[in-house]
This record gives sequence, C-alpha cells and structure tokens, in this order.
Amino acid sequence: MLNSSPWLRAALLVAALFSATAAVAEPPEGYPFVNYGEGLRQAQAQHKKIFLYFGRFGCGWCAKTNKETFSNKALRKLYTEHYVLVYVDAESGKRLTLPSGERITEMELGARLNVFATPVFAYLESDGKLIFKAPGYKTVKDFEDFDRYVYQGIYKRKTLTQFLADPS
Amino acid sequence: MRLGWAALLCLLALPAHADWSFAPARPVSGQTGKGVFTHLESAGRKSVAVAGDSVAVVWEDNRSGSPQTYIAFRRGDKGGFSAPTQLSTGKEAYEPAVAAAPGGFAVAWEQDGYVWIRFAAPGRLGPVERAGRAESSQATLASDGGRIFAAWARREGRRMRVVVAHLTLDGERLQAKRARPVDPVPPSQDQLYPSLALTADGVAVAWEDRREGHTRLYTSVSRDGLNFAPLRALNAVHGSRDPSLRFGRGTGVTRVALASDGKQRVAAVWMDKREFMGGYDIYAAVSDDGGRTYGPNEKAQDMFGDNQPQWHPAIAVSATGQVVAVWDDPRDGTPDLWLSWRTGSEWSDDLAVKPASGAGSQASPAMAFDAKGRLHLVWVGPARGGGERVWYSRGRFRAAPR
Repeated sequence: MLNSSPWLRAALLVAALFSATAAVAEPPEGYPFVNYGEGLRQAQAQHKKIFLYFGRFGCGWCAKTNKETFSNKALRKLYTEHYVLVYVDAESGKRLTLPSGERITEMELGARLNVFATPVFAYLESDGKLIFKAPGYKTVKDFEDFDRYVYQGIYKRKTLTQFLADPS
Repeated sequence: MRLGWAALLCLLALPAHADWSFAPARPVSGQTGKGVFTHLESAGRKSVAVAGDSVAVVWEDNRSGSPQTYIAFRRGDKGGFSAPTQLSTGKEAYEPAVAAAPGGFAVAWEQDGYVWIRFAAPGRLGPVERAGRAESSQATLASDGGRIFAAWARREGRRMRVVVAHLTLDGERLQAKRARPVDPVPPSQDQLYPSLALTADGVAVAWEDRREGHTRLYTSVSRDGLNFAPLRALNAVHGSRDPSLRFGRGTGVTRVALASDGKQRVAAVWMDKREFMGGYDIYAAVSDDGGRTYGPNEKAQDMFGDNQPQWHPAIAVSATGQVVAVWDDPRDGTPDLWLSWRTGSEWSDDLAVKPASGAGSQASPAMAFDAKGRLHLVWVGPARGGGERVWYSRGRFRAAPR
C-alpha cells in the first residue's frame, strides 16, 4: 500500500515529523521569544522587563506548560505586551553575554542561577537583574499573578509569598 | 577470649581510613583585573594534562579585551606556574582542551567558529592549524604519549555531528588527519560535546545526542579512529514519575566526560536529571573492555548532595585503574569542589576538596592523574584582591592499613 502511494507516504512522513517536533520542548508557538543577548538589548531599548523561560530539549513539564498554559490567547497577549520574552535551553552550549560583559553558555547561566529543574521561569529587570524565579509547571492563573506582581511593581514592597497570600 | 573476638570484630567493622590529601592551592592564570572573566570549560573537561614532570593548564579569559585561550606550565614538584601564554589568534576563542604530546602538549580550541589546534611546550609554540574546513566547536583531546586524537562537533546543514580525527606531530607542527563521523548516518538531531579516552585497543568516544527527542548519551569505539563500532546508549532512561504527565520524551543528561587507565578501563561521568526535583546529579559508568560495553549507571555523589544540583563533572582514571570523579555544588551555601572515588562497585562519601572549599565560588574543575598516581586538579576560584583565577592543587590518595 505504501509502496503504491507516494503521496500517502509523504503525508505520513510529514505527520511523523510534526509529531516528533511537537513533543520537543521549545518556546511555545506564537510568542516572540528571542535569545538572551537580543532580549537584553530589546529590554533596555524598550524599557521592558524580561520574562526568561529556562527550558530543556525533551522536557515534559515544559511541553505540558506550552500546551496547557501558553496556548491561552489572553496570556499570550499579556506577556507579549508586558515583557521581552527570552528562551534559554538549559543544556545548550550557545553563548550569551551577561550585562557584566562576561560571555558564558546558556547552560552556564543555569548553573549561575542554580536552576534545579525545567521549566524555570525568571523575571528580570531590563538590565538583567533577577527579580524572582519560579520553577515547575505553572497555570494561566499563576502567570497572571506573577505578571501583576512584577508588572505593577509590587515586588518592590512585598515578597512573592506575601503577595500571593494577600494579592489585594 | 570471647571479649577478644568481639574487640577484633569491632575493629574489622570499622571502615578502613582512606582519604585524599591536597596541597595548598597555587594560582595558575596570573593576576587579572576587574572585568576579566576566567573560564575552565571544554568538551570532556580536559583543561589539565600531565607529561612527564610537566603540568599544562589551559583556560579562556578576556584579559586582552576579548575571550582568548591561554596555557601555563609547571615543571617539577616545586615552584609555580609559568606566565600565561596566549594560544589563540582570532577575534574570539573558547573552550580549550589539552593533552600530552611527545615533547610537550597538544591543545585544541574553538576560534571564530572553527576548531584550531596547536603544539605547546614551555617556551615553545607550534604553528596554529585549523582542524577542519567546516564550522565546528566543542573540541576535546585524548592522548597516551604517542597517539593523539581529537573530537569535535561539526556543523552539517542544520545539525551538529560528532567527528574524530587522528592528530600527528611533525616537529612542532600539529596537524589533524581527515575527521571521520562516529555515526555513519547523517544526524537527524544534534550530536554535541564529545569526550575521548584512549585504550590499549583504540579510542573510546561518548557524546550527547538528541535523536530521541531528548538528550541521550551514546558511546562507540574504534581501533584506528576511522571505523567505529555500532553506537550504544550509555545512560539509562527514566520516564516521568508522574504517570499523568504525557508530555516530553525523557529526562535530561548532559556533559559526559571520559577517562581511561590506558589499558581496558574507561570511566564515564555525566550530569543526570533522572531525579529531577533536585536538579542534575552526578552519574557514572565504568567499562572494563576498552569502552565497548559499560556497567550499570552508578550514582557517584552521596545523599547529602541530593537536594542541590551538581555541575561540571570531571573524571580521571589512574594507571592502576582507580576512578575518581569531581564536580561542584552549592550544598554548603556557595559552590565548592566535591570528590568521590570508586571503591569496588560503590562510590565513596563525597569529600570536600579542602583547598577548593569555603567562601566564594570554587567551580568548574578538571583533573588528570600522573604516572605516579598523583591527582592534578584545577578549578576557577576567587582571586585575592577580587575577581577570579584558575587554581591548582595536587592530591594524593592514602589508604591507611587497618
């Protein structure tokens, strides 16, 4: 059957390729994620804070977050407007330049921030200074809360724990 | 009489006192100023090598205004390291690896998108040679005094592919023979960060491979560096502990490093996220057939490091087959070096390396045994007066009689 139908074979190949890539943890579709250096440049030019997504190739919890959380259109609009979005592959040897001028790999950035597991979501000032980081799967509600905490500047007067206990 | 037997049994039940002692740390990379960043990184963590009574250490820093690679030597048992000598000649250079070569050392590094090689000895530098025409990175080396092999990741289209090349030395000119892919099948996903070890039978290689949708470690062996045996997976795959999680392909592993005793024993160490809640742990496996097959995956670290991620593992195997792993982790607040060694089929308790512990960050270790069984250890730590530099210490294993 397959031998007699090259179109079907091609379609199955495309489907197989799609399913193979769909399971791979990469930045969620539809979001303008950029690399760290470009993100830092954009954040300083646009006076925006940085939303940093530490993912890992094949990471299940990253894929789950992409599919179940980042697929939310309102969340996509919120984060695209409020942040420069940066994706870092926690096992990658790609190099980036820290605000200090130091050149390190994406994986080394994870070591410096002592990233335990993936995904890890970090919020940074436009100069790259860490505001806070949150590990593991997160829901739309989690990200909306984090956005209020960071975007409204509440982090300057409350810890995240204090804010989540009393978000008013 | 009964009391005497009980006392003897108690004595035998005590663990034999076996430990490592390390000399005070010596600076390697010279004094650097504010804004100078020092890195000990290479595929397989080959930043230190020993040839006869000489030790060579290679690293990258930006003292010249851009990242470049450097080497320093120590000769004999006394005295410090020579002033750093710059190896690289381009705009930017990274991740140098070093191995012993006849009359000196072979060095490989990444420079402006390609892998470059060079012979170096105290007071002498060979010409700089590009190891291949294709875009390449993540070079590593292994030698046994006569043979020298290099491996690196070479760009082929959208993917990186691990290749191995035999290096030859003509006077002070180090050259790479034609590099051969380890896997004859063109890569469907990236092959990255190779590591090499030479055995009595040939060359053993391990690398990161993404063909399965998550990073796996693969190994192969070759008698001549030209034709490689079929690939074997090195790390055991552990699925998610949460059966409801139907996403992703598998847990993470990364940065494998190999070392050998030069005969049949090859040891591998890597970072492994199978217990993903605590970040990467240090796992190892040992081969006693020249890298053709490896024993089961062994957790090299002890339980006291479980709630912290471990980073930058390196491994060394002595001429008598002793296997030692080192890494850094921040279990005591800041990154320190931790050492573990294999006793039978188990690993020792983790030992804090005394000269590489304490305030500040001591990280990114690399190490090599010499022929006398002494362990030469380097790492990046705080410089007196600020900044950071490469440090060195030599260790000796002492197994006291019962």
